[in-house]
Amino acid sequence: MHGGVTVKNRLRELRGEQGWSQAELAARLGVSRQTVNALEVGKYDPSLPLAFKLARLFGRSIEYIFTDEAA
Amino acid sequence: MTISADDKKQGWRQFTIGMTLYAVLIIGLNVLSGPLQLDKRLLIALTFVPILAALWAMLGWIKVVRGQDELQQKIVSEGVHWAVGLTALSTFSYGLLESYVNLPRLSMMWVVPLIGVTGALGQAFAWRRYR
Repeated sequence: MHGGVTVKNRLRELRGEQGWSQAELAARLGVSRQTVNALEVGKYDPSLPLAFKLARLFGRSIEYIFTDEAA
Repeated sequence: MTISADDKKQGWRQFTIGMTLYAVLIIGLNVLSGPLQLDKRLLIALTFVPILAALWAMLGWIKVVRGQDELQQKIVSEGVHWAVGLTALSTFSYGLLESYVNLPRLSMMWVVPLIGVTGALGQAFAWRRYR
């Protein structure tokens, strides 16, 4: 949760569709596997540049990948 | 500017070599400064040699941090905050105890290892929050 906003994401689902491991996704993003795990379990919300990178990688919009729980 | 994995690896190497050199030079200076009866000005100059090694190591560490991803940088940042806070509080508290309870004077050389230990503990603590 960040400033009262709870962000949910579909990263695990999208990664599963591609058949990638966390390590594989991490390598494609240029981040550590721990960071991918923290993103997937919702412990960490990415910066905008990393969110764009994810959106490009999965061919989806940022809004599709990340949703505000309150919305 | 993008930092490559090689730059990060080089940073780790620089940090490790620099800190090892720092430790060896500090021990060497301690061992040799007594028996050699060096001139005071030369001794002052020699005292700064290990600091140059530590400075080089520090620049290596900065390269490592620049090569990390955003979450790792956030964790390092939290670790630094813990290190600064805990070191400031413990040295200040001990300073008060030295003044009011007459505890033995401690060398300021202990501040650097204290920063290292509290920084490492702070990072470990921060990591737990993101697991």
